[in-house]
Amino acid sequence: MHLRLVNLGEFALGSWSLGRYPVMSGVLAAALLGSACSPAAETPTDGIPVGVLLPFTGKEAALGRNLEQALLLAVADVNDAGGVGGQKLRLVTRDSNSGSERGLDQLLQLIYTDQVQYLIGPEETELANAIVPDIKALNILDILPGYAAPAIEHPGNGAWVRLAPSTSAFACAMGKHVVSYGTRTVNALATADDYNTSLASDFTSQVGGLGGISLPTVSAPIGASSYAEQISQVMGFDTDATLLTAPPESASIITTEWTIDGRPGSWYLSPLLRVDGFLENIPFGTLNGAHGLSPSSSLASECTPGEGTELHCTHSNARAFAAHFEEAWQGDRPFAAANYYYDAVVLLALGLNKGLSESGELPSPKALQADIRSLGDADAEPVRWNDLSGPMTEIRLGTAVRYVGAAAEYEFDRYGAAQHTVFDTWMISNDGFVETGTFEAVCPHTF
Amino acid sequence: MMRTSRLLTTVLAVFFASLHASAQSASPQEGPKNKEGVEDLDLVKLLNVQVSTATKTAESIDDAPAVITVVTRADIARWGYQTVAEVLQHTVGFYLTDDHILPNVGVRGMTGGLGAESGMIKVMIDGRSVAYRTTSGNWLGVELIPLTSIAQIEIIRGPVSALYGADAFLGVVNIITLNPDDVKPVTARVALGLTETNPGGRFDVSGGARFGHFDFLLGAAGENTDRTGLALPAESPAPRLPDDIGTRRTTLNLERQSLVLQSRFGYRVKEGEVVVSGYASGLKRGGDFASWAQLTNGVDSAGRPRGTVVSLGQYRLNLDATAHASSKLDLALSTTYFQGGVLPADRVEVASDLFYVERKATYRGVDGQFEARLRPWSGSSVIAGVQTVYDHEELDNPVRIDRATNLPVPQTRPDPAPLGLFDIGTYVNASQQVFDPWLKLNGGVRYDHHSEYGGQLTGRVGATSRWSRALVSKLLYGTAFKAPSPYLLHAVPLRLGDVIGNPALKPQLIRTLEYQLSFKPDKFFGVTSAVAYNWLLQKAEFTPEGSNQTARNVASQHSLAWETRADLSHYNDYTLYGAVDLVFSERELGQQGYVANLVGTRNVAYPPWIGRAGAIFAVPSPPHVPLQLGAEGMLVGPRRAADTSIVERGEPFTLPSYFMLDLSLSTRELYLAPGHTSRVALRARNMLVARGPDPGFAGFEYPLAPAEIFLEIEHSY
Repeated sequence: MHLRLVNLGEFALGSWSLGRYPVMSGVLAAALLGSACSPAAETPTDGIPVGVLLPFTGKEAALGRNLEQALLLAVADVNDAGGVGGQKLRLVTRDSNSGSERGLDQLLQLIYTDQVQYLIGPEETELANAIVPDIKALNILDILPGYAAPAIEHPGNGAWVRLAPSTSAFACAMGKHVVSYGTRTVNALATADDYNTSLASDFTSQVGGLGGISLPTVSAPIGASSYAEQISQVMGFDTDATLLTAPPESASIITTEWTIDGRPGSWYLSPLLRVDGFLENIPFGTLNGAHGLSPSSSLASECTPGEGTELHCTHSNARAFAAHFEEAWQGDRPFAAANYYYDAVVLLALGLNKGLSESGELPSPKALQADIRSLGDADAEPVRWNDLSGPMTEIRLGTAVRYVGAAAEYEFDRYGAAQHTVFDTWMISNDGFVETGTFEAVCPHTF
Repeated sequence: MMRTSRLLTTVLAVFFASLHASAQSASPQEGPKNKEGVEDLDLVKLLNVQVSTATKTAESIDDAPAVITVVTRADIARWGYQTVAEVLQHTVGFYLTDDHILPNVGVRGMTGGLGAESGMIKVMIDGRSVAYRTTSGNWLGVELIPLTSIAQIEIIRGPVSALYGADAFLGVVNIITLNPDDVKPVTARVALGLTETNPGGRFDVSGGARFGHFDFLLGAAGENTDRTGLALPAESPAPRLPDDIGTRRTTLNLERQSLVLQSRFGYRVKEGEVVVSGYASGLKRGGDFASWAQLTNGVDSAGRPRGTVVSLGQYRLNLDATAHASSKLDLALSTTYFQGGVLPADRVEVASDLFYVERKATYRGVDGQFEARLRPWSGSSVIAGVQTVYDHEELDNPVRIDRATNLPVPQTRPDPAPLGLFDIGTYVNASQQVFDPWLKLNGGVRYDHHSEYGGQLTGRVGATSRWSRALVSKLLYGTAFKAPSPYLLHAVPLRLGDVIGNPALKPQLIRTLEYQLSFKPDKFFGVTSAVAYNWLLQKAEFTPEGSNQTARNVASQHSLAWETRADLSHYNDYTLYGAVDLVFSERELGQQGYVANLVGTRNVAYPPWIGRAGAIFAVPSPPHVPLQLGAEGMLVGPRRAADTSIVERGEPFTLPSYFMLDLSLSTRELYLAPGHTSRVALRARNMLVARGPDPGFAGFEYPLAPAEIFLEIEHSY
């Protein structure tokens, strides 16, 4: 049955065009998947199922386990704090295969076969976009914690929440950052996926808007064994900085080949490349001095204004979460995005409890999204991620609360997208990431 | 293949005819008197062979407190084994998978997984480990030892760390070389033939002599064969292939070159002996099934040759001294200097068009052991000793080589500081015949302390009973540990997704309870059956570490194994055996979430059952050229794919059963001239061209060993 579904996608809709006819594909898929044998990774059947799609195989495979650990930790914490009206949350997890057609198949199985009402992920932009009509058709809430989550302003049924900064928010901050240290001309080398293409485009536009000069972006296939031609092209423009935005595996090959090529030009690194594994797999030291930027690991309340847009921040919240994570997982350290995945579960649980307290039943996706957005209400009682037991009770009793998460103190727009204006800057030194500061970057129209 | 077989058969027929003419002029009676030919060793002798590995004391196999299989020099010749790997493949309780670089031994349902290189057992030559220290891997091919220098191979299934320390974990393979009195001046064997359609050859030669108190043994063996042409199994869910490979799935380089040299010089008097020995071993393998990337050999888009080649070497210098201090006490001192590392021919492809990687890893060190062997009274023995090992490991950063210039890519990080690994172990083992012949007890304990992972205490107890002349039982319990290799502790990844070291990795532990029953009613028939329960703790599994993978002690495994073998023979008329392994094993991955749930608790990679059988019959032939026909088969049950393959495929799957058949037509020993013996054989491996595949551990599966047909000639003087 599993193979038949894949064939159906190929036959009826073609590769990646599947998303253009999602309802039809979904209905057909549902019909075929009644007895689908491809297993979801869950065994118990009680509790409230939360669908999860993560990359356990393919080019992004390195992310899957770490992000799932964050989710499992959050589920354990939420359930220890009483769950949702006494019911426990449970994860129903499938593999996105890093965004392949097989991953789309698994995503459809989550919503049609497993019939989850709440979905976390996918991490891949293409998959998230492909199932928008299905989510509308089945009226599901989709929480997107990943950096690569697409824009979510969708009218009609279904509901979305996005937790990490958007490409435009990142581009705003990256543009301001490169300009702040004197960069005048930029371009980008981006792999040919939606997220990295969009980030490169937004970044070069942003620099242009700030008075800099944007030269053409060079696109490269994901997963190629060589990028020599693209490196030669992009460095041929002789810009002050070239944004490298690609998955870590592709970026490590690009960096190695760039080193062989004599290290022409200067890279600026995308937020996705702030992972130790990237540095461990390139010629050591060759990127020393390269700059980059990430969402701040500090809460807004941990920062005080400095000179200009600079902020002075502590990172005690992030350190506390890292310690919690490491204790639970035998010393594993959380990836930067893991904090958002943890928050996704807690926000879902708080929202469900809030809806339950208001109507006595689990809320609809739209109502649930509104309940989650209300958890960013600055005037409400703060509830910290590491102290959930009391607040879970309070929220069931109708107390308005504001969630102080592992990743951020969230503030949502009307579409459910969290707004981020504080970013940590860093550079590579001695084969490690060294934070160089925190600053506030505000740009218009950053969804 | 069939045409080749016919050709070789014709050649052999002509050869036999000429032999027949030659043999008629040399009477068998003119052959060596009081020297046993291979076929003169009857079953009862084999079954009552003396062993020394179980307690470091010579004793009969029935008295030895271990589940032991002994493969004698005669067995090796009889079945035509070319390597110790082939011996183990046909030994009950073992299962080998082969990535066509180094085979990986599994025992009783347990395997080491990715890169284990048979490191879950301890392989020794005359009681001394010959592991490649960086990975703790054991080489089991031609490069291990000249088979012509072997007296017998003692194979223990079960833990023996209490005597041998680290890595005597799932078992011990102790290769005993010929004693000075059995060494012939020259024994040489040459084999030429085809591996699939590729020509190749092997040689194996040893010889020595005794002059009064002095003796020496020299040996060498080598191989130049080629498995190129084997195909990547279609079941492979996620092979890592070159971009420009197109539809090709066949290998272009699975060449195998091996060489081993050994020497031994002894001075022996009744008060004791001093032995100096040397050992050098090297291998070179085409790496089209290497774990980093597959099918990489060929030429790149610029026409430059490319491809993974694995080339490793090691040597050892040993000094052993034994003093017979009294009739009841021997004192023994053993020292070894060892050195090894990656050889210059080694290169690893990581699926880049612009560069490949050269590994930089070497080791050297010393191993010293002092031992006292006491026989306080009849039927008892006590062994006590202390052993120290210092291993200096240099695991330098891999060097990326620019294909265009053949120069290293510059990098700034200095190489990691060399590692100084130190282990000291002390042990005592005692055996006592309590009620002769009904009960013999054995117990031992050993404590090791290692500079990286601290202390380990292991022990064992056992009882052997001769209920009657024909019936023997053994009840054994033991613990052992598998030390984390320097590679797993401190590996530097060659590419994204490769293994990265985990300095916090601890030893794996095992507890084993075994019961063996042997029934040998007469010299023509014997049956042995053993049941073993194993509990493996702190099992190391590869788990994601950032973008790479690292070994962690997160899992555990239980296995219940039942292994039975029956032997039947009648002088030189026939020799038969049949054996069955049954294994039930479950794992606890120690992890939560998608992968753990998808993979589940059922064992992977190891077959739940294996059937083996062998037969050798005398066939009608001229009296001076006695011929025998042999067949050896192995029926292997379906094996669940390994974790990585299951995850990559998105669902559990099982690899199909297969039947591997080897055939041989050979002469018994021929006496061509006084003092000379010869043997000629035509041997075919995997005659049915079974392809398997066998489970791989890096997202692809391995094809089985290829079909081979070799003409083999052995001559002794």
